[in-house]
Amino acid sequence: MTTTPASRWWRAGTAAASLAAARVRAKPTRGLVTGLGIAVAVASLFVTTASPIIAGDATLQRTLQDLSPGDRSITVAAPVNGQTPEQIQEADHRIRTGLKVRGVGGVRTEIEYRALAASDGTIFRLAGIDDLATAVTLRDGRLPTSCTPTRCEVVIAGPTESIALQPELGMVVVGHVALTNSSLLAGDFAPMSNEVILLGNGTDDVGSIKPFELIGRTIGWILPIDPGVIRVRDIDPILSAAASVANSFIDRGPKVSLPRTALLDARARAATASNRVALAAAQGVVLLAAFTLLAAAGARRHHRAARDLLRQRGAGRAAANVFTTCEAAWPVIIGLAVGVPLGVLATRQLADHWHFDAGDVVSTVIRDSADRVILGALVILVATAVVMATDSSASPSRQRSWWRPTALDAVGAAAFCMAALAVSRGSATASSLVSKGDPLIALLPLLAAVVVAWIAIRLVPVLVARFAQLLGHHAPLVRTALGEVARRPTVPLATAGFLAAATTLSIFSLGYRSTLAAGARDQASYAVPFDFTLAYGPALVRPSAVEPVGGWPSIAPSAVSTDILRRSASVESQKLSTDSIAMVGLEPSTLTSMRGWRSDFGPSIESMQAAITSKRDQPTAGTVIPLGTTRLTITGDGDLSTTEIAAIVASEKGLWHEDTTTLSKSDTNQLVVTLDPGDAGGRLIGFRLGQPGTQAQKTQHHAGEGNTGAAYFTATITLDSVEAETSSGTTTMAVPWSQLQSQGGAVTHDATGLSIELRLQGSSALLLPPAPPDIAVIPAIVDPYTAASAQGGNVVVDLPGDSRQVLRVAGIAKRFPGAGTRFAIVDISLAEPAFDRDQPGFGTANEIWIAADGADQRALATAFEQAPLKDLAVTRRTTIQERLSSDPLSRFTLGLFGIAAIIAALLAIGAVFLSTMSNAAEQAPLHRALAAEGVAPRSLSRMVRATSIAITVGALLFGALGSLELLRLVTRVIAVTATSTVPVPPLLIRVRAIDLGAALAALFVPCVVAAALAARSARRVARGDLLREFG
Amino acid sequence: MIELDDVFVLYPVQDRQVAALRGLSLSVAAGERVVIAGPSGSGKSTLVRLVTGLVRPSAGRALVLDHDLATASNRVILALQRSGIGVITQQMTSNLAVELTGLHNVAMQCRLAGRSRHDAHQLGRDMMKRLGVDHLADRSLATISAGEAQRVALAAALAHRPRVIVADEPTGALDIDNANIVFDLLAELSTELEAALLVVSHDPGAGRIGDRVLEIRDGRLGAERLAGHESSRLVVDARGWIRLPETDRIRAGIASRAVVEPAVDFAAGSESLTLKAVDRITTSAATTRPGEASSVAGDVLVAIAAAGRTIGDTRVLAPVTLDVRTNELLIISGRSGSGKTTLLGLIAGFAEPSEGRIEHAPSTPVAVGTSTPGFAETLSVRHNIELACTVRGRVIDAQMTDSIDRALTAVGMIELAARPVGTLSGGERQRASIVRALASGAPLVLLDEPTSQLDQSLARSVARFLVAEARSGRAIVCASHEPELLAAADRIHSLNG
Repeated sequence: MTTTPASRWWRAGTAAASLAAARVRAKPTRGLVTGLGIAVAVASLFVTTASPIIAGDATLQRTLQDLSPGDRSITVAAPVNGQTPEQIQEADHRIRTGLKVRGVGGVRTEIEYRALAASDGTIFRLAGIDDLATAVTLRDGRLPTSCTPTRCEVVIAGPTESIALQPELGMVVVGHVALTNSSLLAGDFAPMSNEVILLGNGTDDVGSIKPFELIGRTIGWILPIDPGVIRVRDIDPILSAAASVANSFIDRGPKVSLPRTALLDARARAATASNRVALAAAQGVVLLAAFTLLAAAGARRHHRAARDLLRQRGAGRAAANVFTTCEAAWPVIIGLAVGVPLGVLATRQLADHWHFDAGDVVSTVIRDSADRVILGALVILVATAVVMATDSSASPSRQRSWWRPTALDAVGAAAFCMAALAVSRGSATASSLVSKGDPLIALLPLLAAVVVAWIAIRLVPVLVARFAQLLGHHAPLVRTALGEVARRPTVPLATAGFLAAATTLSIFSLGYRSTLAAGARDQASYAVPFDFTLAYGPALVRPSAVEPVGGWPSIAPSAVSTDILRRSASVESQKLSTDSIAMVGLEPSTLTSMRGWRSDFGPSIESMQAAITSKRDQPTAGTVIPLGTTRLTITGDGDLSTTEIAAIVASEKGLWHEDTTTLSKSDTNQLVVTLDPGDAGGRLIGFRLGQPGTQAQKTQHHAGEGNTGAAYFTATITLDSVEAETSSGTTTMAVPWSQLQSQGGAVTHDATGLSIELRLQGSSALLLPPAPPDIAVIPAIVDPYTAASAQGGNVVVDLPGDSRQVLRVAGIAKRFPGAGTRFAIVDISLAEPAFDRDQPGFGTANEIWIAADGADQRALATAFEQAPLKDLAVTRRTTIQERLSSDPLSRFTLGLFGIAAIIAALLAIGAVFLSTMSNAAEQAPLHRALAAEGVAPRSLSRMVRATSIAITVGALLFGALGSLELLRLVTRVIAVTATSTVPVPPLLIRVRAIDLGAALAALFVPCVVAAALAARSARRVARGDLLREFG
Repeated sequence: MIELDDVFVLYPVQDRQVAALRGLSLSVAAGERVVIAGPSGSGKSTLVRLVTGLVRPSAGRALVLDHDLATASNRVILALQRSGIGVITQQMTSNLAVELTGLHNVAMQCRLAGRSRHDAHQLGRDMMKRLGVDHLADRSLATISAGEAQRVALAAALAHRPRVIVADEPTGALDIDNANIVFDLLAELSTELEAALLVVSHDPGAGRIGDRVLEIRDGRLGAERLAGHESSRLVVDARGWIRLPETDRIRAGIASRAVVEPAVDFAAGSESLTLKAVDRITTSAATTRPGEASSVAGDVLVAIAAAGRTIGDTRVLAPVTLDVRTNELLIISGRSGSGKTTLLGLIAGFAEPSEGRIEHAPSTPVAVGTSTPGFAETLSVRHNIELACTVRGRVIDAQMTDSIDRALTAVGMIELAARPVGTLSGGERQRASIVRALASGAPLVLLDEPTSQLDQSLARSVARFLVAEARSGRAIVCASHEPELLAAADRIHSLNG
């Protein structure tokens, strides 16, 4: 029988494969270590594929849950008027079929008429909801049971008890309800706060009420987006379906609204997380692949013996390669057999932990990662086969000088150049990570690891040799072992490279994790400089107005607070443009309570305090208003009746404001000022004089339209005396008329008072004492850009109201918590009078920062939830920090970096073990000879152990240095927080020396233990060899 | 079948080439059985590698089954290896895959040659049956004896019915009975298959199956003995080179130069050449008769009383009674497998005797030189020797250095002292190992086959050196059957019984 070449090849191949199979059957544990490495890689691939999916979905869930139910719905609103029932029916069909996508709940319709007035003046809206009983809770009465065109039973939704409806409307109120489905009557259908809602049952029935036939009404289809069901991958179909539905109605005006921004934002963050996770995953997988190859290199000696037997028997290259491939396939099979179930299990656990459908997540992961698993397995298979088949036994006859370039140098140099290119190109942001803009930046950790491995492989032998020299005549065996390592580029040196790379990635992962976690703290501290920031809330209550009588320490004894005067201003930037900056006045003494000040922001807190702290006493301008004064009477002359005059008063607390004067009914030469509570005991500072408001508006209107010829307002006012009226009588106040000046009018002083001539065009004139000299130029800490616009060390800022303030640059800070990117930080005691002088009241603090100890923070937080403090907008630092920390993306990101660090560390330890075993086997002839010379077995182990420890120390050293440099580069180049947003302030490396030392020790000690355990094999091998030879 | 004509094979070693075969010529016809003898390092293994296609000739012509090995493609060489050649070696692991059963091992080469599994197994069974090991077809090789394993290996080498059979020390690991069985089978099967048989062996028993026994020395054929003849004939190669046997040279007193005087007796119809020494040998290393007690022997360092060793069911050393004394060079001789190395191991204390006892003089450090010595490969020869001294606590001072230099000079290694050991040849490593063992200062030095890879000249130098070292008050025990050592021995203990 003749055989074809193909059949001969096939038969030879099967023979080779059967040998491989027999070897596997004989010792199935041979590829175990390699297989376990692959298993971990496969499982990691599953987890890293699942992580961004779960993180993204959790982020989306959280984003949607933060929205009000009305906002997390798809609402299609269409005016009914002008549309035929058929058109409405068609629309209903399109909406129900077009928006039938996952994550979107069932359709519920509602109809709402425009607001009407009841006979008692109450504004009400009539609305109808399908299946009303499922959307409300009955408070009293009963639910509507009928609604005909002439008589419709309705219920009142909300607190209103009754409403006087016109009988002819046919409305019958049968009860009161509370809405339980908050997606209804929300968004476009949300009533005004003063409107009463009357609810009927059934959209069609309520829409057909005869008396309301001509009333405008809108029908809505409400499709709630269920945060528990929707997934990131559903966003595109939802947006697409919504767009499709919207487009189909474009001629008839239905309006489709949905939380598009929230959905897109969640999708973008999920994409960022995915790419970032891919970054962590890539480094882990590549490290695992390298470990697998290292293990394969260790198994090479055994494999080569069998391959040589095959070749001796005449096996061709193809058959030999089949044999090698089959042997290499066994670890891959182990890896897949163990790794896939392990990955599925881990994925299920992860999904369960986050309360997602594990089956759904697993099927998605399998679908997404199957190709990568198969491709990765093939790559590992081929690479392992190549490593196993390569005869790279180190022969001294092939020794080369250590500085001679090799292929490794080419790889290392290429990695270095690519890393340098990545760094030089600039930085990656959250958006660029979404778009996968620069792959080099994403690969930076891997490139750095390769470079570190290269350097370690190149320099560790040199260091080890140097160390061996230092040993001199001591420890000759150890010296010899080290010398062998230094001269032979074999597995130990490959281990040095691997170990250095693994250390780099491990410590980098830990450090980056720590940096990101600290970044969340920094972000919170940057947003809330102390522990709480109190600002105006919706009720427009000024924070200092509701400060407890005893101050904040009455609630929290440890509280330190500062009033904050925050005003927008503008500054000219080199005459080219005008930039907006934040003027922030604060009490410098409280700066030490700032939680997140970093040295990279600017000068030390102490130097900033010294630079801006005012040495002035309390303001002394103005005339003291006697305690108990309720009214001031100002005596004067001239155009008092045609001029609007206000007294400028500083309250007892120092808050400037204006109290309007009225012309006395009894004496037209007298103006009367009714004081606000708190004014008595304060000071009368001066006066504002201007044309009446209506005239001023007209004048300003003309001026605004370019009519500069509008008439001026002219007046002459004489002011002589001010009397303070108290319950006990009247007191004449010693107003220093001679000191009062005005830039808006011509002032003439006489013995008893002053006279001012006004010539105004839509403005007013202030009559004030001269400005204290210390507020003319205020020292400020400014940002670098603002500092750059300084002239002669001073910056002129424009304040609202055409006033200007000169700031002296007393310090430059790159950033200042709570102040934005452009700022000027000043002493509030200077800012207040400076601002008030041009605009009385403008210098009143509008914010409060409070710092307190832990327990006191809780007391404050409790107080802020109660009246009157609950009307304030309170931001708590720890709340922001907790929110950032609990963000799903943050948790996954930090978790993955933690896992990556652990995996890298475990691999490093495994590599040391394998390398030590391999080294013991490689040095067996020498050990046998030494054992024959009488060297104790323990000394042989020590030789091997010393080698591994020397390599470990060198590699850890390079790894630690590499990781710190990598951390510096990545922190600078990848400007993304743990929550995949732009970090404000920028991330700062947070690796303490003690932590670094602990991490290195945590790596070093297990490595030494692994080396010691593996080194024991040297004793057994030497003893066994001797027995075999001489026994 | 095999035609080698003036073949050179060079190996690269660091920056130079080493010639393993130096103009070797050999012809083996179909059905002819040729036994190759010679010391290790003489080029036997290279000859095997050449004939089996594992190395190519650097010069000369090498034909195997009419294929020129110098020019044949890899594909042709592979086909030759698969189908034309059967190879059996000493090591079981290089003959057989221990993970396969006997039959799968035997059938493997047939399958690699493209035969179907059924055919290959049938051929394998036939061959195993022919060799009487068919009962091992389904057995794991890990559970069979060395003799059985070698017969299975023989079956594996012959199942595909090769036309050239190459056996490289096929009985090295067998006892004499099993060795004889293997030799007989080789002879029978080569006849049955009409195959050329090339047996490379140290074993004197191999000679009885050979049509010719060729001695190879220094990469060339030195002598030839035909079957049925007691004496050997010198081989004159194509360039006229003749290698004078050492014993004849010494007997003739020729040191390094000789003159040839032709004596032609045309009348008698015969020709002859007379070789006369120009510079004569003045001293002889041999001081005592082999097998006789040395007159210089000193104290007993090791007393061996009926010590033997058995591993499992195999007796690896028959009981030995022997004293090891200072001042003498003691040679343990015997055929391969007689237990020479095991006896050294018992003396060194690496293993315990199964019977009898071995007593050492108090505080008797032992230095051992193995037949395949291990070194710190990247260290120089000198550093390796100094390392051995250092681990024994000897100080490397000027006196020590001088002593090492003298030892290296004595064995012809002084010029290689600075060379990394990894770059040395087998013989050079062997000499370095000897110096290392002796430099340790141990009073008892055990050397396993210390000259097996040396040519006669170097072996004699080493022998002289060992004698001199013994005279300094040490006991030197060598396991060897090399004539140079036997000639220099103060005492010879044979294990051949």
